[in-house]
Amino acid sequence: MPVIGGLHRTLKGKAALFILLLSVIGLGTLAAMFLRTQREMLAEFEAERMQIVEHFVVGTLKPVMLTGHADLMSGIMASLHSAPGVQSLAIVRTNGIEAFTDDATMKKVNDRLGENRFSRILKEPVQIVPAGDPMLKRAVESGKSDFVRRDVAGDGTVTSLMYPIANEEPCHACHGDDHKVRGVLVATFGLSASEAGTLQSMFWFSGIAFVLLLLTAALTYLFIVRIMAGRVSNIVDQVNRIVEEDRFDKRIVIDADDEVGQLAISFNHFISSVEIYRIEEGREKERLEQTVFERTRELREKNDFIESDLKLARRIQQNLMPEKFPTPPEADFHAAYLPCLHIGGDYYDVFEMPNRHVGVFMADASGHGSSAALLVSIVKAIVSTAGKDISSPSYVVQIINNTLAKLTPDDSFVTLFYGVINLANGKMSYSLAGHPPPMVYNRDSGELQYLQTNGSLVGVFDFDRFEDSEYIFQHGDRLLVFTDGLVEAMGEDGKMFGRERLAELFKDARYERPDAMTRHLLDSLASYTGGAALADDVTLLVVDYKKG
Amino acid sequence: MKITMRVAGDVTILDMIGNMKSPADLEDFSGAVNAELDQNHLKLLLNFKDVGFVNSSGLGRLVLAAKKIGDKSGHLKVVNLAPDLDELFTFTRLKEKIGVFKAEDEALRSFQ
Repeated sequence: MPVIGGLHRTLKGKAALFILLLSVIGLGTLAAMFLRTQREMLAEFEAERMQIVEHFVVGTLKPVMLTGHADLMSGIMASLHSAPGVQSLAIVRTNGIEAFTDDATMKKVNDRLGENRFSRILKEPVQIVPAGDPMLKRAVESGKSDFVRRDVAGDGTVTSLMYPIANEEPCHACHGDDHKVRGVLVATFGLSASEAGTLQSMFWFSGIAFVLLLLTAALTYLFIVRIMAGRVSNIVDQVNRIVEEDRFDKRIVIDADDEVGQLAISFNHFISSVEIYRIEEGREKERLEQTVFERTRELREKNDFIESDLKLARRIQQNLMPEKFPTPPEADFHAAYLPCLHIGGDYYDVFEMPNRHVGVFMADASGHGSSAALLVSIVKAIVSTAGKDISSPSYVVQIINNTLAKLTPDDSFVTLFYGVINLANGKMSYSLAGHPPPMVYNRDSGELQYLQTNGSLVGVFDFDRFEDSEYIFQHGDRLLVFTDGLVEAMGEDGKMFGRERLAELFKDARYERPDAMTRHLLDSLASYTGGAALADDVTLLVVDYKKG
Repeated sequence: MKITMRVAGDVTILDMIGNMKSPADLEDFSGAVNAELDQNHLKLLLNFKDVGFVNSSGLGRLVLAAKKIGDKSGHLKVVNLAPDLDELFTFTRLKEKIGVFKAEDEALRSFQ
């Protein structure tokens, strides 16, 4: 694959060249540093040796000089001259002539001692250091040793030393007691050019050998890297093929029991893990699909049950509603009913009663669906049997309350309006229990009033007391009974339709017939809600009383 | 709906925020009330300051709560009803069953 192949090519090409160059530069730098260090070490070595030889020569010569035996002195000088690193060695007088070689000095000493201590030395005086040499002059005058170092061909270094020898007390017998510098030890130490060249060649050889060794190691390393990279690349190719072909049942070929082979084994473990994971994943997927299938089936069954329940509720509710209203000359009745999506629990009825009485009934059960439909079914059953008693609507409400309180859960209830109208005189006895107060508007006077509640929620509190109230219809009165679904309908602005809005519309439509007025109200409601689905049933019942 | 609890003396006040109409609202309300009853907190004041709408199911749950507390000789009262809700409590005559107050301190005094 591109990335791995790139790595391989990089190892084979640019990276290899880069490493090689880096190695040569690095190793060259190391070699130069090595040679420089070696040279500095050589110089230090020579300086140290010069000091050792200086101390040795001076330390050896001084005691012998004091004995005053020139022959012994000469032998020691010859011996010291052959010491390693000593190129030349001589003791000169302050005029630069080699000591112990002139008759003048011999005679002077012999005269001083009064005996013929020193015989004539059979050697011609030798001018070792030119008379007036600045370095010799400084040594004689200062009494302090001085040296000068100079490089010679082949990276060698030679040090010339002048060491003044003072006239010490033990010398007084021969040389008097003036304590002056009597002579100077002149010596030259250091490697010869050939020795330095040999040593430098040895250093160069060591450096080159070192560089060659490092180069060989670097090339060997690159060669091994190339071989290893090729093997690793082979493993990567095999892994890529397994992934591309989605064949996690395959394994990588293990070609050797080394680190690369271990890498292949590790990859095989990883591939095995993936294979196991994918098998488990497949099983889990199957389990999930099965679970989803079962849940979907359960949901469908529950949904079917709910749909069936809603159909039943709708059928019950439709059967509850009256097909037609009484049509006495004294009053007109009209109702409108808008079921909500979930089927609420509204119920209304207008029915003839004995002695020219008419019963007007409206109920609203709490909740929705079949439970609400069941509640109003019970209500209708009670009204159908006990509701013919014209004397007291509250008596019927009392029965409904006691029945529902026993039969239904504690949070289920019904609100209701039950009015019994005496058509002959317009007197209406009514029980209004927990229900939104109906409105009465008189066309002639323009007066709007609300009927007063005289009872609480029905079916909640055992043996609750309900009362009757009375309203006497006047000519031109229009009664509007409604359920809370109307005033609690939500508009697009999130506010409820409200009783005040209803009252205004009710008054505005005072000259319209009851059916036209209810249509007008429902159109206004639909406009207010923006056509949104109703959250609760809406029921309207209008009574126009014409006699009075 | 969101309900938080605070205590004033031996009265537990439930501050209710939202509507009481969806099944989830009703469960929230009943859960909060039942939790207090389980701890035998029998003086409950419901703060309706931030309650917008109560439908018939919500009203049913409220009546149920009042009955449960009444059965244990406790008291459930409400405070800060919005005008619409005050009207609802009036025509359902729940004001005769459940104490309704305009101010919290007045409601708290009524428990003593």
